Amino acid sequence: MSEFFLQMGRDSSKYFYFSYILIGVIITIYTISLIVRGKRSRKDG
Amino acid sequence: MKIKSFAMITSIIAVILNLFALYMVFFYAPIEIQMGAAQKIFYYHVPSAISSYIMLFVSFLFSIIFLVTKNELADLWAYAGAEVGLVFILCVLISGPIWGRSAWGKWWVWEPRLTTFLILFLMYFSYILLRTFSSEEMKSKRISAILSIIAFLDVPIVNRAIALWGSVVHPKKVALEKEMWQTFIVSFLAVLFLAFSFLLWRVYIGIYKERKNE
Repeated sequence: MSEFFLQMGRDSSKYFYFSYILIGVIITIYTISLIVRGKRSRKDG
Repeated sequence: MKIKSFAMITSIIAVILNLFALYMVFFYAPIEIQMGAAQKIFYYHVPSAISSYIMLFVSFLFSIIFLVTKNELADLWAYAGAEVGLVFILCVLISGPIWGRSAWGKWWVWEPRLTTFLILFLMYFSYILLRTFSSEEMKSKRISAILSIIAFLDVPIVNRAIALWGSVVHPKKVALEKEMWQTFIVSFLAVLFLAFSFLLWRVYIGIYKERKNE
């Protein structure tokens, strides 16, 4: 039984990594968009 | 400028806290026996949801202030709150189905909490569309302030959805081990500081832009 749960844990780790990668991508894209907007508004001035 | 210093400080704290939180998520928090490693999605999924509610509350509050006072700065805070709130709503909407696929075997279930949360996303998405593509500036600011107030009314509904209508997938109460609670608290603070740093930078950029336009 414990082997069954261990196997399940190993299998579900791909969902864990995939989710954290996607959250990281969203946060990175928004950070870049803020940097770009900040630089652009400074340049326009 | 004061707001820039605040933004800088919160950003530095956010980076340190997030590095610490990720370390705890990956190496400190134990693996839950039933859901396995996928349960660890919880440590950024739930804090993202709570942080989005806080950001939407900022938008709600400043939308009321804008409608009463017509203060442009209040509108800027309301816009920034809605935008940052939407970013974290997106994090919840992306991590949730991945967790759901692993735990329930389905990407999406049309149950009260998920449905009301999707409605929340759609309302704030329309807010951003309205602000981005509207040509009449003052009118769009007024309409979006009203939209933000109405949209925020969905937040307590999302929060109470399980108690009101029940759920086939979400538990009513969550039981966590001590190490899991500690990891959750650190990751919650990490996401909250990240949200506030985004909010402050967004307001700073807005103020900077408006000053240049004057």
